[in-house]
Amino acid sequence: MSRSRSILSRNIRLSTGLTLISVVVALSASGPLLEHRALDQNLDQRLKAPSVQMPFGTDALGRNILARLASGGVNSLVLSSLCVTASLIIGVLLGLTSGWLTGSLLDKSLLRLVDIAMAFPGLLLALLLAGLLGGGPAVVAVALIFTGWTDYFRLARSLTVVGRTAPYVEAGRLSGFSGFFLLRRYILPKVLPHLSVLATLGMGKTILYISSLGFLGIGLAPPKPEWGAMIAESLPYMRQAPHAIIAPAGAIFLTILGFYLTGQALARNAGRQGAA
Amino acid sequence: MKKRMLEVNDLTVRAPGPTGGKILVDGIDLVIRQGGLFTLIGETGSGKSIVAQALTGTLPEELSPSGRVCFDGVDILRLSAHERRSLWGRKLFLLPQEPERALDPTMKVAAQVEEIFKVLRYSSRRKAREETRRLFARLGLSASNEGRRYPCQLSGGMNQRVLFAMALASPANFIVADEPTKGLDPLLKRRVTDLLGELNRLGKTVFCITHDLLVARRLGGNLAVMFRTRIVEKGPAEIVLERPSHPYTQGLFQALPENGLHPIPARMLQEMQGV
Amino acid sequence: MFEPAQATARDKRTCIVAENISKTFSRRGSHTKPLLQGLDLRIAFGEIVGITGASGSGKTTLGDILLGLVRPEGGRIQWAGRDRTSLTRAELRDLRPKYQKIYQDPFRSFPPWLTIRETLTDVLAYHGLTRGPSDTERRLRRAAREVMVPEDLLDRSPGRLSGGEIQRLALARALLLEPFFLVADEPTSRLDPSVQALVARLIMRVAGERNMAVLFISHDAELLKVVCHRVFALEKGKLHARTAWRRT
Repeated sequence: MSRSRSILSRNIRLSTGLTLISVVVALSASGPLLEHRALDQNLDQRLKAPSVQMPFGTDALGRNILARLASGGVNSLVLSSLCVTASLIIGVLLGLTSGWLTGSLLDKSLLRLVDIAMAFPGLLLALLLAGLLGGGPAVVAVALIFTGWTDYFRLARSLTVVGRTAPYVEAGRLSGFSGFFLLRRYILPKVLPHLSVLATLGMGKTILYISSLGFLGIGLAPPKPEWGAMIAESLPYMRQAPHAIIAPAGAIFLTILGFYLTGQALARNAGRQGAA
Repeated sequence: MKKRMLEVNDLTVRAPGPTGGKILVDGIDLVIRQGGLFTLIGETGSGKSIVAQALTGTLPEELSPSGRVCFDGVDILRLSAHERRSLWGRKLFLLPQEPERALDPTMKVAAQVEEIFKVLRYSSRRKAREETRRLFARLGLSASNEGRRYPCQLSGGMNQRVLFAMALASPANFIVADEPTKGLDPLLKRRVTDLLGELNRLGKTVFCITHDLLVARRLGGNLAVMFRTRIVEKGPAEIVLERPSHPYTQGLFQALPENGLHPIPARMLQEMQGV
Repeated sequence: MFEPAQATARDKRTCIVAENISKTFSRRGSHTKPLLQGLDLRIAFGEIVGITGASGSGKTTLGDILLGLVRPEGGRIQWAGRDRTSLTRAELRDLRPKYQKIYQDPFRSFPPWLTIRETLTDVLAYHGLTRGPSDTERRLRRAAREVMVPEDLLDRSPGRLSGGEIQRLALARALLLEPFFLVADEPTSRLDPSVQALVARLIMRVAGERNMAVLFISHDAELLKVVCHRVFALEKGKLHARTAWRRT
């Protein structure tokens, strides 16, 4: 039956996604323990191919790639969850307010602000800020939050605009409930499932951005490991030691895939809930 | 005797649950002949809509039906979801409760009817346009005026008529209408009821679900009364409605405002459930 | 809190007054047509007034104007003997819950993810009408009993109730706030005759016992004759008196 097949495929998506995420999280959790190893240079061991002692081999400075992956994973995950959480909070608060007061001056100004924020590509903004303020994770976070909150804002706003016309909201208004109470009790529960989907997908996207910026040399200062930066560092040795590029690239790919699959599975779930 | 269009034997539907689940529809038997008109009336929540869902193959997956629903010689309950879906529009047509939601808001209404001719009857564009014009005229709409509008520009009653035109346009011979008059004012209610009769006269087999006794009376045909998951009475509409034999049907008449607006006492409902 | 007795002496018996109400209806901004044209209506405490009329004649809009949900373009609404526009914010906040409505589709008037108990508890708690969990429980039970719904149904979500049950619970929610005025917007048009009789009889009883004014909107002229003290047809923006069987 097509329905049971779709449940199955949703479960496969969800379990694959969650497995990938947990592998990345587990690997990253060991990051702090491996930190000194991630930084230890050993010039005798340059560009060694993967072996039993060093499952992903070593890079151009003889550093253990597995340790660097783990250590870099912590940085990416922490930074991206920070960005996503901040964007989510800003987006939801402003989106609910804006959607509740559709057509008001506040709503119109927020919409203009979104237009402006969306006109900046996140990467370019980060480059610009880095040029002005110097690199560092804080610059990356500011740039990603500035461009990232708009998605959450727009979804929260449009769901609020639809949700506030529901008859039960009118009934709540007749019960004398304040706008704040209605938003919290009658609108937010309808908005959150959809936003959690967006946030999961957003995690993947943000990690990709962080890696891209790392590749371009913005973000954590070397020698601290960062996946994108690891690719950039190993680029000159692509022929001799492809594993030094494949390992971080694979980590990025699998992490994003994990969040993407999980987000998709959640999206179907949220759609089903929304329809009921 | 005309051939049997739909035959339902011992249809039972259970809700999901640990020990088999609550029974929602209990041992329904029905026969509808080709070109016939059948009305199912009854209590809100008695399982009428679930019967309609079982007949049209739109039963939610979590409900488990048993028995047989033979439509044109095929048991719908045994079909796969894909096979069931292929019946829609081709063999059976479901008239939805809210016409505004069933029509495509971004397409002019005449084009939506033409599309049925093109897709389901493989008509040429010219033929489709001509047939649509004919159908619209028959239903009191003008293809050149109302037909060129979008659903949001038409009144509820007009959209309702567009849907009836779609029902007539489709090759489906079996039309299922679930509460077609819900929430309509008396004038529209009468028009919709008459349109259903019109569909029937034009050769379609009609299955109508309603809680409105006046609609049932106006439609005529055969009638069954449903109460708490079971059919308690059935027969030709004029006989059942003139001389109801089951206490529930009698109670329904007593509850009509013109007969005094007397609700059926809770005690009596419990007793009847035991019968 | 306002009490009906606080209304001026002349309007003591009158719960709600609408004077010279006008409202136009616009669809997609393209064309406007007058919906209500200089309409007058007063409803006394304990009185049930029936409104009938074709779809789109403005019955629901009239109800919403009386409830202060829709602003009329012209005319005055009096709540508790005072012009609605002259009420202060605080007065309006106190009076707001006294003007209630039940809907044609009661299922959609409850948030689907909350149980009835949660929704009703919100109403009590928000207005500080309860002295604690046991008091809440007592009040909810009493509310369910008043509308003749078994108490255990309170723990269900809206989707697991029948149309008659949820409509009666919607009435119970409105009654928690001890309203002066109730708009019943086609409350029975989706119910079978027997359940319709049950709900209509219930509204009649409650209005009498609580001395509550009711605007009963319905397509069913026969039903209005039985339920209402006065019946009007809304045609071309004005009210036209029809016969009613009940004595005022």
